[in-house]
Amino acid sequence: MTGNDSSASPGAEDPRPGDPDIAGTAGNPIPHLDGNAAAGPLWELFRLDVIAAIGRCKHCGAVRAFGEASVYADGPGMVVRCTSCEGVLLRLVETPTSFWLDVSGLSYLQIDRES
Amino acid sequence: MGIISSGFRGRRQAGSPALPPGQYETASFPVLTAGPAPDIPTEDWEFFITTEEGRSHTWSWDAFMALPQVDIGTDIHCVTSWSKLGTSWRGVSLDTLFEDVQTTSRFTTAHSYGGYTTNLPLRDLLDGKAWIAWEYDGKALERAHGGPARLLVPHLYFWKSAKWINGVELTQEDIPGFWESNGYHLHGDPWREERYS
Ligand SMILES: [Zn+2]
Repeated sequence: MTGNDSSASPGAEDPRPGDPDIAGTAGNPIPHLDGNAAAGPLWELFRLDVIAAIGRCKHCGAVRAFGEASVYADGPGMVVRCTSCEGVLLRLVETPTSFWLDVSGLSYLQIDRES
Repeated sequence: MGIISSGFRGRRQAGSPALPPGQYETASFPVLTAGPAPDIPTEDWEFFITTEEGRSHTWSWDAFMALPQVDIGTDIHCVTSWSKLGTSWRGVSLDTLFEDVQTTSRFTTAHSYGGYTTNLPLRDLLDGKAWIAWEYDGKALERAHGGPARLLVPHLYFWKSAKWINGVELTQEDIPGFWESNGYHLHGDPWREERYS
């Protein structure tokens, strides 16, 4: 994934930082970032700044700023999850020929018009 | 690839016959995950196989551990381009688990705790090609790597080796799983570079 120049905080913010078993090694929790990490790729795709956008989780109905979501970016693709229920809000895969974007976990995204 | 086949051949150079096209060798074991690691105590763990007729075969942890256990030495290949050569595992062959399962299905969906899914043709799970592994490198499989148990299908890209495995559902059709439904290849053979759909 490219275009990530945000101030994403690293996985040290894991909700269970004291759990050594969650990590490959102690003190190295499953790495995830906040919603800022997804902003670069989505800007690249749509010229849309989603950080302040308000999204509704289709799984649990939580309505939150996109920037508060959890982003798992070290796998085969980027997975954005709801911080309330951990349901998948958005997936983005970059192949040599395409972007694959799945937003089926969001029932809406409310984007501010101010520019 | 197979039981105690490649575990002791030592490290090989990039471009060696052990590395599929586009892969490089790593000595570490990167943790790649699409979400938080579920915490499944073995007393709550269960493995199921469900058939197209709705029949369900299930094993508790104790029943699973009472099955014949085998050591597996194999290379693993991640679609993000790293390969790890000569890894050693211990677990139960899918052949053992499918012994009493009657089915005409040709496809499967592996289901993980936490909701992850991946699709595999049934033939890729049988004939000594796949295991439910609970030990890695002589130690209980760490939660970050899929413990208490994960699917191990080393002849396919490693996203097919579902962590935190819960069960296998037999299906009549090939139904794309978590990554296969969003850009990744339905089959995922690293030797044919079946990375993307
Ligand atoms: Zn939610």
